[in-house]
Order: sequence, then C-alpha cells, then structure tokens
Amino acid sequence: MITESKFQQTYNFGFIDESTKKEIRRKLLKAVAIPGYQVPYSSPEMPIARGWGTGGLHATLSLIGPEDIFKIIDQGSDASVNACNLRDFVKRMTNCRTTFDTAEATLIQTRHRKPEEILTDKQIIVFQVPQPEPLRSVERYEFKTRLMHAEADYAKMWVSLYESYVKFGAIMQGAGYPVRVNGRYIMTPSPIPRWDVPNLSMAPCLHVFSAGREKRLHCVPPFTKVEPLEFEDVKFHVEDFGAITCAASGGDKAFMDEIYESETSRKFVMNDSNFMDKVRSGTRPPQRLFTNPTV
Amino acid sequence: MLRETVYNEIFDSQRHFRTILDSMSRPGKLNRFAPIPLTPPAGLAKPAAYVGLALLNADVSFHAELLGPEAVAYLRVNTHAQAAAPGLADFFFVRGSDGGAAALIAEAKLGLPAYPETGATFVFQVSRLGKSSNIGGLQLELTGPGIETREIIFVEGLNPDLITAIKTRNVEFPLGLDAMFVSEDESIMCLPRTTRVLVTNL
Repeated sequence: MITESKFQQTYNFGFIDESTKKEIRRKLLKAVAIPGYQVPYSSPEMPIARGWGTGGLHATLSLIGPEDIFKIIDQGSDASVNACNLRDFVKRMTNCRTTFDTAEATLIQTRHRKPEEILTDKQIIVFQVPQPEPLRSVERYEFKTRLMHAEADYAKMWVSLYESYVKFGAIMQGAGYPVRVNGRYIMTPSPIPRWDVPNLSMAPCLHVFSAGREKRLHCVPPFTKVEPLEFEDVKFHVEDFGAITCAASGGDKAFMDEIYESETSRKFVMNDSNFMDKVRSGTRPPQRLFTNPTV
Repeated sequence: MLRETVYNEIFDSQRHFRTILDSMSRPGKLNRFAPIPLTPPAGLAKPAAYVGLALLNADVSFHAELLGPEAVAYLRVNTHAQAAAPGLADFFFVRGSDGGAAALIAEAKLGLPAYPETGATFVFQVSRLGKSSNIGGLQLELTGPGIETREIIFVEGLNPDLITAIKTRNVEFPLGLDAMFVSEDESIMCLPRTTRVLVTNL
C-alpha cells in the first residue's frame, strides 16, 4: 500500500515548487548579507496577478513552515480585502495557524504598514513592495540605477529632495520615504507612512521586502541602522496627529485614518486594527514612538 | 548508500533554512539544527550536509575538493548541483582547520559591483562553537548589522589564517564572501560580509 502522503495533495506545501523555493531562499540569505541591496529573483507565477502581493507571497511561502503562526495585514487592517484573500490562500496551501494577534504571530506579511506594536526577535515581517527602486523617480533605466547603486552615486536623489524643498517648503515624499541602510544603500521602505520609517532602524525583527512584479527582494536585518534621508537644516518628520484621539478606542499616539462622516464632520480611528483592539480592551502594547525634531 | 532517503525535501529543508536565515540575520548567534539522521561520507560533516541539502540545487555550483571525492559525489547526487572550479563555485565546503582553504578564499568570486549577491558562500566545518571561554580556539569579537552592540563567540578548530583571508577579501563592501560555521554538535553561526571581525585572543 502506498502511504506517501505527498501525492495525496493537489499542490506542493506552500504552492511554490521546492526548486524555486531554494532559489528564493538563497537570494534571501544574500539580501540579508547585503542590507538594502535589491537582489533579482525568479518571481514565479502565482494564482494572483503580479503587483497584487505576489512578492510578499513568494517570500512568505519560502519562509513558512508547519509550526508558523501567520498574520497578514493590508493598510494596518486584518480585515481588508487583499489581506483576507491572501490569508485564505496561504492557509489553504500550508494549513498553518493564522492569527490577528500581532504578538502571537511568527510570520507577518504586510501591505503598507509596520504594526505599531514592537516586534520581537522571534518574528519576521514581509512587506509587499510595488516599486523597489527608490531612484526610479530620478532615473528611468534599470541598468543606470543599478550602476548608481553600485557606485553609491545618489546625487540625483539628493537634488530631487532639495528641489522638493525649494518648490514646496518641505520634502513632500509621504509614503515610501527613501532611507539609507547601514550607511550604504538607499532603499525604499515600501509605501509605509513616515510614521513607521524610524521603527525599521535597530529593530529586533528581520524585515523582508519583496516586489513580485519587479522581481526584486531586499532585507533590513535586525539591529541595522536605517536613516531617512534628511539635510542638516531640514530634518525628517513623521506625521503629526497633534491631540487627535481615536473615535473607537479613545487612544492617541498611533497612525490614524481619517473618516469623513458628512459634509462638515470627520473622525479619526487607529489604522492598525489589532493595536486598536488591544487599546480598546485596556492592554496597550509597547510601542516605539518617534519625537519630531524642532527644525 | 550514497543517496539520502531519510531527508524530507520539503519540511527538513524549510526548518534548516530558517535556522540558517536566523543565524545569517544575527551574526554570532548560535543556533542548533533540528537533527536528521543523514549519512554523509567521512569528509563531510553532518551539519554541512544539512546546509548543502537545504540550499543547493541544479542552478548552482559548489567546490568541496578538499573534503575528498566522496563528499563531492554525495553533494552532487543529493542536490543535483554541479562541482566547479574555485573561481566559479557559488558554495564552498571546507574544514576550518585546513589552512589550505585560504587559497580558495583568495580565488572565490566576490560578485560584481552591480550584482554583489553573486559572491560565494563558504561553509566551514569546525569542531566547536560556543559562548563561553572554556571552549578553546579563537575568540571573535563581532560588530555590524544584526548585532545590537557587540557579540563574542569562541570557535575551536578554525585556522586564524582563514579569518585573515576572509577579512582581506571583504574590504570592498558590497563585494565579498559570506561565511557559515558549523560545529560537531550541529550548531551554526554565520558571518555575513557586513560583520566586522576581530580576533581578540591571538
């Protein structure tokens, strides 16, 4: 009697075939060894369109094992459509436990936020990245941006930040603020708000960034210096919510969503849904907050 | 028996990969592999075989000449990777005590400025790795990404010439070599090219 359970399933564990997983794993190791550098990888076909989170799925499915507890968020929320569908897919392909609880998860996939709660050294966070090349706005050709990274030639980037300041009186980049990793590579942190950018620096968890459509992945290892680009006299600022409190939980000091109620009124709620639930239940988890400089 | 039958290609390789990834992200941290009863030939240590089976496939090449022809045959049969000359190989398997490996380090590829990830990976087989000084051997002081302040680790069975050879080749970041150290008790410790290494007891 054949007892090999491998052939009783329609798909391989984690959907991707083992040979391709190995390739992605080797690239992940090199991405960790060269923080902030974009490693080209295979980006195999997935049952969703490229640009809808395939990069995140490639990284997640190459990392995940049967003991992992998986959490996925989209814009801070466990319940938005991209997160729900990808969670269902990962669950069906791996039969892993899934959770909404940030502290319980061992592997977190995210689109456009890093959770407010401090992640530990037992956790890996995977970012879905639409455009991994921070220099794309100043240089359209890939072979040239690659050369610019190789030579650490970031003059055009600095000029574009300066031009933004001269035109508008501030560096206008909101989501995906360019950062310098380990004093070498300029990297995009994926379109996370400025609020989350300081939390990438010297964090205990491993950050994996993966762009499926662009076929690139990069990493920020734990305890690695990540500095947002700023000038001596024009400093990086995070979003200032002032005295705004969350309409659902009453808490403050978190990244807020603005909700319009009628023509004249609006309210704010915390963007990180699990964090809001915890604040509401009275157990606010530890957070790392950035204080804006005065200049 | 040359071909491994006990190794689960899906779950064992995943578990071992996560161990390697954790070590690579946190240089100087000791991690123990989940044990699998592999039977590699005499020259090839079991944890080195774990690394080989977890990461190698037909897309990459390796160099394991110094461990003997049985080790080369074992890796080729079980991973389908190709044996290659030192100047071309992606992975190297060597004994940490073997000063002759310095010549391989000097010849291994470092990657290109535009594609630094093509630099080689070395797997050094050492006798013991540990956090306390009652393990003999080299005392390494490590700083760099992945390390909060600094890490101290003791490596027994590692020729200091190899550390010097690696440091010589890793001066021009982002070009460089990444190193893994595996011990007889099936632990692993990694030194990616970003880690600054100081031998403090020589």
